[in-house]
Amino acid sequence: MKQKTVESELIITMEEDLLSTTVRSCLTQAQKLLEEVEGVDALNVDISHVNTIDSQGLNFLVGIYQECYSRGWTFKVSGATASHKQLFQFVKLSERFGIAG
Amino acid sequence: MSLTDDEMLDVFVQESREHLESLEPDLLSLEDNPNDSETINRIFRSVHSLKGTSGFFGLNNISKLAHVMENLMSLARDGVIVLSPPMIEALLKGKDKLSLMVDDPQGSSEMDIQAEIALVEPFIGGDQHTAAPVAIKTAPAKTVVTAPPAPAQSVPSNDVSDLLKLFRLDPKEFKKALKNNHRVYVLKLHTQSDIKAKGRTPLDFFNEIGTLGEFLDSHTNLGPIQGLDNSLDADLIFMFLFAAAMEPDLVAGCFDIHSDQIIEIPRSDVEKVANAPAIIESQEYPLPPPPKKISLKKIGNPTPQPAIKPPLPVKPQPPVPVALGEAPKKLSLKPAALSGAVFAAEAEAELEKETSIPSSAGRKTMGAQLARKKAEETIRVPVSVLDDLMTLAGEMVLGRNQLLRLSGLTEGEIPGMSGVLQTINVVTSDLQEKVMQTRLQPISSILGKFNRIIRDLGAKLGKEIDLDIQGKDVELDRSILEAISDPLTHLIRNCADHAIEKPEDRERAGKPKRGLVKLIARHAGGQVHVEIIDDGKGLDPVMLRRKALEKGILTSEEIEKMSDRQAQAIIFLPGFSSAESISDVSGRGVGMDVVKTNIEGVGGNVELDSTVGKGTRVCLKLPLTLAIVPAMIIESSGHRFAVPQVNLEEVVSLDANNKIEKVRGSPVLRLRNKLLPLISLHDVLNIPDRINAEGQKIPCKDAYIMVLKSDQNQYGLIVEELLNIEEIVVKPLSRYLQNVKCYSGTTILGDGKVAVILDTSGITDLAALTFSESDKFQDKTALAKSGSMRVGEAQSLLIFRNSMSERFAINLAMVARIEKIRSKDIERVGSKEYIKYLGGSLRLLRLHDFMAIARPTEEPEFLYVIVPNLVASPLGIIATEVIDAIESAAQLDERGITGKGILGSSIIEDHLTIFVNVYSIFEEADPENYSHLKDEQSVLADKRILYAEDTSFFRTIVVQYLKDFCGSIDVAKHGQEAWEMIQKKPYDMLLTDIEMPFMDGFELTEKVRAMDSLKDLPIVALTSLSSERHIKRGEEVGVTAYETKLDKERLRETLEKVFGGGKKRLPGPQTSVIRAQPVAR
Repeated sequence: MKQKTVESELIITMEEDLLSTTVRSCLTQAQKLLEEVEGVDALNVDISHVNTIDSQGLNFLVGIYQECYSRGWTFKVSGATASHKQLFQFVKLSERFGIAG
Repeated sequence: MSLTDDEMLDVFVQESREHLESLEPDLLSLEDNPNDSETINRIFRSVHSLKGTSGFFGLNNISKLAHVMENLMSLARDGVIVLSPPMIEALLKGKDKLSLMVDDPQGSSEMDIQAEIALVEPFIGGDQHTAAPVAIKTAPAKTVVTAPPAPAQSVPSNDVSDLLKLFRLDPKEFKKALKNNHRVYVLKLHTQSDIKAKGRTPLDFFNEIGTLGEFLDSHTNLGPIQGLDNSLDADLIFMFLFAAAMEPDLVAGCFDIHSDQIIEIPRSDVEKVANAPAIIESQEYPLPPPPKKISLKKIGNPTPQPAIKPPLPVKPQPPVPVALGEAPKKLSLKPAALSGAVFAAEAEAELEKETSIPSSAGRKTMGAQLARKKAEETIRVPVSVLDDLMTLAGEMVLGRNQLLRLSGLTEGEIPGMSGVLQTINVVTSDLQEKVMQTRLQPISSILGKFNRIIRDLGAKLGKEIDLDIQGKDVELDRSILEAISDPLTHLIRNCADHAIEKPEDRERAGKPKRGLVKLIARHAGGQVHVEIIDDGKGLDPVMLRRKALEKGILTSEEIEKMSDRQAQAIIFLPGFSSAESISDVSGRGVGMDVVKTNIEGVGGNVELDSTVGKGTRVCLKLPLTLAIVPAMIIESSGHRFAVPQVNLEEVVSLDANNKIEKVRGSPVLRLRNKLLPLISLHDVLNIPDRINAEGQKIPCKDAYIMVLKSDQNQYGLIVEELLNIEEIVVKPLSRYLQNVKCYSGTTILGDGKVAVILDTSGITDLAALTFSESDKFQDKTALAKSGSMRVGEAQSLLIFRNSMSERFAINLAMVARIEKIRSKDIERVGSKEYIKYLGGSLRLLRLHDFMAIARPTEEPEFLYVIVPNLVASPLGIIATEVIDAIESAAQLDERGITGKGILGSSIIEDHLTIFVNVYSIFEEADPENYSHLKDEQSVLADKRILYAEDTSFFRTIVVQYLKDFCGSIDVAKHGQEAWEMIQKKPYDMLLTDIEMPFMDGFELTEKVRAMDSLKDLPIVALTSLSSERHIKRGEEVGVTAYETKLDKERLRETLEKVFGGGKKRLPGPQTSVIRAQPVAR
């Protein structure tokens, strides 16, 4: 997981698939990151390097989304492939994840 | 890769069979425990799955029948009814029909299921086998949704309208659904338990939806996830709107979800939406503004912190239709600024709590956990793959053997090689063992059905029968299990039909009303023994003989020669049935012979033991596996063969002590008082001799005899060389050798060479060797012509001469010692001759002084004195030559040569040999010491004695002696004959040898003591086995007195003491054993 801050937007780039075997370490990193970061009011999760998202991967994204709302941040998911978008549409998360169309 | 239709149908059939297999024992167990909720649930799930999956394939009959059964189980599950035996009977009948239909899915539509449905319907009331769904959830207005216990009820539209508010409703899509006659459902899924747990990804799952119907819209409740903390473990709830032609049950089956998770939208509501003027947007809240956090915990902040930013303006929120059953007042309790997500979370949580729609936690019952755990522990593998694995493992074993052999040639040359080879060796052995285990199945896989068989047969025949199955975990190769399934079925059915009596007959016989059939599987000596034991009426040899004669299976001559045991074995003859009327239960006369053939076909055998009035025991002895067996590798003239170790009893080296002898031209070996017929492997297979470099033949030098088992008989196989014992991989014979019965397969040895596996029964057939007890009751003449020998009656004899012309024999048991003396050392006192012997003097006898035999023409320098054993005052018998001490089974001919001092004669080693009656000679030579008891009146004068003795010599001597003072003596030649005689006639005493063929003296005593009418019969053992161990064994089985052969005076004294005669009265049976002591001299 990589992270950078651009103005007040925190960008987290996921470098591996969001699967039950990998998300636990992502979660730990994300928790630490959110605890330490300052001066941010938006979070962008870049999933352009992600091929597969399983149920726990989806839960992880929803978890980040809920964290943002609790902090009053805006949230979006970028770099979604067609299949990602299809998934988010199915589960009615496209809007929440800031994914158009 | 997707499955073809046929493949999918195969999967359906396999899975259905598994469901049906577990159904029967579960239903039977409910007869005893009708309130066992776990079993009820299991049955419910099985029929539910059957219903669902069969419907998917359009197998309507299966689906309908399963549906009816599911309804009944649903009532039981909900506690509305308690399953009674008639209900279970109806369900069993339904299960039977389902099994038939699953085995023939295509033909199932033609099968009539009305009878089975008619059996179940009265218990559930009304016509339940319509397509109405069973457990459709309702959504009552502002109340909780509960799982209905009865068949489907329609959903009130106002409740559904609340549900529909969660979705974006497009009238066009609803019109299309109506036009296509589709149903519209709301499906509720959990990400963890419905998607992840079933090995699917969300995307795969949603793509699948598209193949089954029309995905209309969805709603996701994010409430379970409140932040990163619990995100991974939370179970997100998806609801989606779905249109499909399928009925709800099929939907449940297709998505593999519970029917409680499916809500059908009534047609009226569908029409309402279809007629709407425009798209009805979801009344789910729009994307909410970032809330001020109230109830959610910040990560890393255990205590509430002030907001980092000032709160954003709160937009007015539309009413939030967050969930079913949410009371408006609850909404008012929440600040409007709360995020919809949070609010939804709490409301959904309420809904979750209040509804009985099972949450993921709720569904984790013990049974479901176990089922899931079990599913994770096993995997379905085609049998062909296991067979291939077995073949490959066998090849690997062979390769390993070759590698090890080659490594021996390069030992030490390659560093580290030995360690690597050791690893390969160990891993290969482990792999072989594990692969073999994949073929092993517990015998319970075929035993389970017998509970039902006994139950049904008992009901049909009006008998009460219990079945006790032991050893269900004993494992066998699956090919053997397949082969014995039918024979076992037949045996069990026979028990119920023929063996177990009706309750009233059993009570009259003093037996418990309920018959007992035991089915016991156990490991024994590298085999598996499966015993079927009943306490029924047993096999009546008299009736069996009569039936065999009536049916023309045997002639009266053959039947006359049969013992009772042989008569009982008539049931194994083809075409025999002892049933008075052939029923459809058993008794078509094609049963027991097929049982025997099938069992022998897998390398096993069948033993039968039966007692009239008490019961029958049938024992199937089976090899563990046919695939890899331990075998002895042997060689004859350079050709190698493998002999399965299960058939090998022992190996004997041919040497001075073990010589091949000939009886009537047939080779035999004397082996521990028995004659073993021999077959030369070299000769029977016509193996060509080896040729040396000069072109000369190298004859086969037979050096060993392998004592082999063939059925219940033994014979010796003469071989040249024994190589080693190996675990061999059995490969089938080439088709060119299929009809060669002396071979059972082939194998590849460690050095890569091929060896043929010998079939021990086939070898005897090839050699035309027959055995008198197990063959078709040939008469003795034919037996003698075939060159086979009867086992038993062998005795140890001392062969000697008095003159150069005649030969004499004395049983070695009668001989204490043999002294060599000089003729000139004989001293005379009057007409009597003596020698100095052991510090005293020993009177000598010359046989020609007492018997009408030739005198020696000259006195040699040295003579031999035979000092007898177990006589009161021993006299030495002079012999001019001691020829040999031999084991001989020769029959004593009492009629050919008679006279004073002559017991009889026989042909021994092609010479006429006269058996000396030592006692009569001593009585004549020394009447003072040997005749005084003759005239006394004995307590045995009116007693009838049965004497069992297999050695003709002792039979003759003892009978001659006992006749002088006993009332009457009947003689049996072995224990089995004595047992048959003692059941037919009353005797006052049983006098028995111990070592006898067919039934020894201990077993005879046990049987006698087990009979009420004979339990107090005095039994005296007369034997040469006088060790403490044997005497103790005699005590254990109930011998009254124990005498060693053969002190006649002591024998009489002992017999008389049993009846209170003699000097001392003996205590009763079981408490007193007289230990025989040779008279000290």
